Amino acid sequence: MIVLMAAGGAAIVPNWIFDAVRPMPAAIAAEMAEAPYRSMHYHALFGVGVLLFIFNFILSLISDFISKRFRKVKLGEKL
Amino acid sequence: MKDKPGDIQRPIVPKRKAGATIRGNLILSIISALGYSGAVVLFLVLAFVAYNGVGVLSWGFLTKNPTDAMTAGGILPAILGSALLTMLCMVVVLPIGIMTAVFLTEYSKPGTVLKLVNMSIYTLAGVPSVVYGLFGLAVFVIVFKCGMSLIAGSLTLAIMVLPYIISTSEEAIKAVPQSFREASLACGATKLHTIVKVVLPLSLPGILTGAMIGTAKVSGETAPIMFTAAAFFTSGLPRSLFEPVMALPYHIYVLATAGTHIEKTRPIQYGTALTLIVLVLGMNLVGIIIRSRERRKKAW
Repeated sequence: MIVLMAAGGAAIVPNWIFDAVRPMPAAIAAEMAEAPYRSMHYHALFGVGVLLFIFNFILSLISDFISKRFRKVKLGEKL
Repeated sequence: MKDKPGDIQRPIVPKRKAGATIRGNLILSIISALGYSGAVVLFLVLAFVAYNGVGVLSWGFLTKNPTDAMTAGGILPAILGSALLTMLCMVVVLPIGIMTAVFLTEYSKPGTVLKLVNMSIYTLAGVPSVVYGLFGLAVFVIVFKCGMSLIAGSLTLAIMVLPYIISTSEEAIKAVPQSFREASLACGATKLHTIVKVVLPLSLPGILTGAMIGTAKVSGETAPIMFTAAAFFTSGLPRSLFEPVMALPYHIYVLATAGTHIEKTRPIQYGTALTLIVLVLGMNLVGIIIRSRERRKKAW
């Protein structure tokens, strides 16, 4: 939501850092209100949501793996 | 010490503290500056919103309906709608979260199921809130046929804040020393009796702190309620659980990006933002005060 208002709303590939971009959550939030129910646009926005979830899930898995490798298990703690 | 005859007069040279070097001092100043910059950024944000929004704040602003296409009047239905969403969300999430935390700390055995549950909670905590909004739209609004309503928004917000409540409740329950549980069991109480009468009352301040900060988080979220509960305009309280409500964050978003009289609604937008910040800060402060008083009273 922060990037929805601050990153500009242009759905373009930026050429340098001062171009406007539209990140995935901003795209969903901005376009969901006007997508007709069960149209291709609607399903495409849900697809963007799935992609966002997968990105986050992979990053979560990596960070969980890294943090589990380097911690010390305390006495009596359940792994 | 007075000068005695025969003392050699030595020049007074300021002594350096052991370990103090120019490089050490430089690094210390850089790190201190970075540390203070967090508080400075917070104050800058507060000052900017307060400067732009304090001109609009008044008792009438907080207690009247918006009029004239949101260019005049107050934000009462947004405050009421936010309060209703937050309260209903907390009523739903606190029992589920506390019971899950009790299960994870007291009753679960280490194994694949426990790893799966922990992994799920960890993943849920990292999902962006827009995906929760989509989930709420697909499940509560469409499949469960609630429509865009207070109940759909509250359930979506409840799912969003559930991992936070579970983790803070788990921390609070784990902080109760094992000897308390062992003493209670030695006196003949059953495990359920121990949990209900010994562990939960002792961990209640920690759980309350988590609940307060969870409430503060929930009241500031826009994306989950954008598709499930928020309406552009309602007047007063909703008539039933199945009606849409206005909400403070959504009101700010609408005024900032989709307003029709941007110049006139800009002060109202900042006033709404100031109200929201003051409410969230207040709730966070209450949570911090509960936690610090509980820490001071602890005897173990």
